[in-house]
Amino acid sequence: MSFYRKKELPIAITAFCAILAIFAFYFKVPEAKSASTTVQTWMLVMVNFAVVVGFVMVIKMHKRRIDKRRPGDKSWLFSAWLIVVLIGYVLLGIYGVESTRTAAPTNDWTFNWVYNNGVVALDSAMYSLLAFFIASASFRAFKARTKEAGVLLISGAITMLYNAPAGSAIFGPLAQNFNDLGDWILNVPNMAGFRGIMIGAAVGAISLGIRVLTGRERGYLGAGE
Amino acid sequence: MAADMATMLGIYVYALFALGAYSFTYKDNSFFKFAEHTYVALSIGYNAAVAYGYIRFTAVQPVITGTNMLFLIPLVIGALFIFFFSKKYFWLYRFPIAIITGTGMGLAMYGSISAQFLDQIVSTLRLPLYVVDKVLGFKPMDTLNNWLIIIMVIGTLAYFFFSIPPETALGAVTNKLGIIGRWTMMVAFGSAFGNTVMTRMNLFIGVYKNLLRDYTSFLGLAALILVVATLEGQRAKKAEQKA
Amino acid sequence: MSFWKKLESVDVRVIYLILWIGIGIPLLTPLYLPLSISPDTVVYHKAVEALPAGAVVAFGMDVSPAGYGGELGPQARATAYHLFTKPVKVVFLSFWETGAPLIQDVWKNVFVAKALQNKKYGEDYVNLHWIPGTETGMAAFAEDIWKTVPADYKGTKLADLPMMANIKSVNDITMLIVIETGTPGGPEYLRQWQTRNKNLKVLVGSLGVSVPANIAYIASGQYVGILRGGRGATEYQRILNIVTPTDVQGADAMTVSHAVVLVFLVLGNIGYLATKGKRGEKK
Repeated sequence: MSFYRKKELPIAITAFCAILAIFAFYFKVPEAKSASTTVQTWMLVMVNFAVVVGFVMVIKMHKRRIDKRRPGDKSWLFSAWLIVVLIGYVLLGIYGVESTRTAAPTNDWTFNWVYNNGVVALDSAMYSLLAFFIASASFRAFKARTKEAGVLLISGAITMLYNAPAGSAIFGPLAQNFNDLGDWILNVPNMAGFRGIMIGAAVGAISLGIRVLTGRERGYLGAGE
Repeated sequence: MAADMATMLGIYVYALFALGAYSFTYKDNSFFKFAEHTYVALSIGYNAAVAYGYIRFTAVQPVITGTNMLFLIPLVIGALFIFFFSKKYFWLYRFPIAIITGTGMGLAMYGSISAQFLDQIVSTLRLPLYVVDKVLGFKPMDTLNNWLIIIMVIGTLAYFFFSIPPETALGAVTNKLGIIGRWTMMVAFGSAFGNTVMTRMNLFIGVYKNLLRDYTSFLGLAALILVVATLEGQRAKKAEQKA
Repeated sequence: MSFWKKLESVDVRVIYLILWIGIGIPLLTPLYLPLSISPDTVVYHKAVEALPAGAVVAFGMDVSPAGYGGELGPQARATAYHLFTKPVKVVFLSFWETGAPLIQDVWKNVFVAKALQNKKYGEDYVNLHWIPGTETGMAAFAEDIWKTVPADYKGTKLADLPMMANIKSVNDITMLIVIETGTPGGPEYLRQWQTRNKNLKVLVGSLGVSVPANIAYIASGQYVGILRGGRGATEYQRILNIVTPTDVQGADAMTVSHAVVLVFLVLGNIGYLATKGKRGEKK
């Protein structure tokens, strides 16, 4: 296989770009800084092309569902609806960009209306479904089966009362003491636990970065030679 | 007049999508599938439209007007993403990925070393072990808290040291510290659970408030969705029994 | 079957219905439940209040639609209102493509719009809209704003926005207020902006779910202040005296929802403990 088709060249490019970014930060060399900023600005353009991959993959997947439809099965209609809405909204966005002569398609009233009443509604509703599952899990699944689970539940219960605007009011004259307890849990054990996790995660991120730079981690380049 | 109609239509569309999504908690039904597929389509469509606008005015426009021809480079490299779908030329797809990953990785590395590693360690080590206030004198609670934080942070880190054999002296120490770390994390995760409840409930309250803007749309659509979902459920049950 | 066994086997949709009814009651009629103000919110308020005249504030609207509709919208509107009552310059931006259009939604709020009457776009505030590339975009912006962002949300070149004349990099920014849903958010700003400008003060409006992790940055001094989710937003509105009946209903609904979940948690565990012994006997 030719050299430029193998993974070694992209790995070398990855390492070069990373070293350029790190060098430009630590060493105050104006040319390196300018080169690094230029590469970063170009990257902002390049990353936007990645959405094309997602766009084509979704259309291919749903087109396959439509092609494989069986008699009596109506689920292919939803795939057809998805493709129509997807292409339609993209075309509306392109129209919005060209008609307003700005980079933001939401400057067009129609595109913005669909965003506010479609995207916002659906995003909010889909994520808030978890509220129901948390409520049912609290009743059915979160049982203090072990001492550790008990500590977790007590800490969670105190935090919930602490977060509820009127939660501490049930303690009457001891409300301020309860708030102090909630503050303590947040600022001492919670903070210590998450700080330890954060330091560990930073070590992991740095070691992953070194693995990518040295070519030991190649998963991001996809399958093949 | 047109603005009022658009607002009213918007309220009904919002209610249709939100209640369609929530109908999943009753039973899986066509309204939920409709909402789910619309969500995927609109999300990707929005991202694609926004990406088009950015590329058009940030890179394409300067090239067309001749003000900055260098933007041809990211345009050409970015276009290589399309070779993700080609078996023969898949290797071309790796070049934009390499540049994006390399730059992102370099930036994240030096930032992580500073913001999430050194700064956190330094602030832990800088905690005074004996807290004295100029006016109030010795502060026992603050002193105790600082000691607890230091021990708990070390304990949490020790919990994740899997490479030290527990039979050794150092292993025994890290084991004991790891127990402190485990209890610390239980309290931390409990706090995380409590805060997660607040976020999820607030998300639901936000949508609920919007649904209550107009009772007709809310109750009417809710009733319609419930009836349709129930009928679909009964039809599916009958079909299952026949089979 | 015992009472607790029957309770455990109740249809999960009954739980959902209780949630709908429980939260619906305060949303229909405000209960005016009491609210205390936590020290974190007071610190956040004081940090914004202490901004000197002419300070440049970057307002990072890094939100998803879901986060904005829940906890972050009230935080963003209250913070924007507070900033617009002060003689400071505000640069709105977003590294989330879904957050950028919501900047204009913040401006439409009744209190913010009133405060904006005394401000002029281009001289007191600008909207640089969306910058792609997440952390790379933040780094590029921090190094050279004019190179990274050619124009504002309406396509106006930065050269035609008077206040941007002296704002070229992160070193020209006094304070960053980031209203964040997730990644990219506060930690990424710390990595790319605060490493370049050590004097940059960072305030964060956080989702409740991110508060436990963000407290570590507060303790280390990397963040100067934090708004803790929906509770923080409610408290901030109360300090600024911009509470509407809808906000009161929202706060009451928050309390009721937490109470409902707590009751479920307690009942579920009492049932578990009550039936635990019997399960042991059966074995």
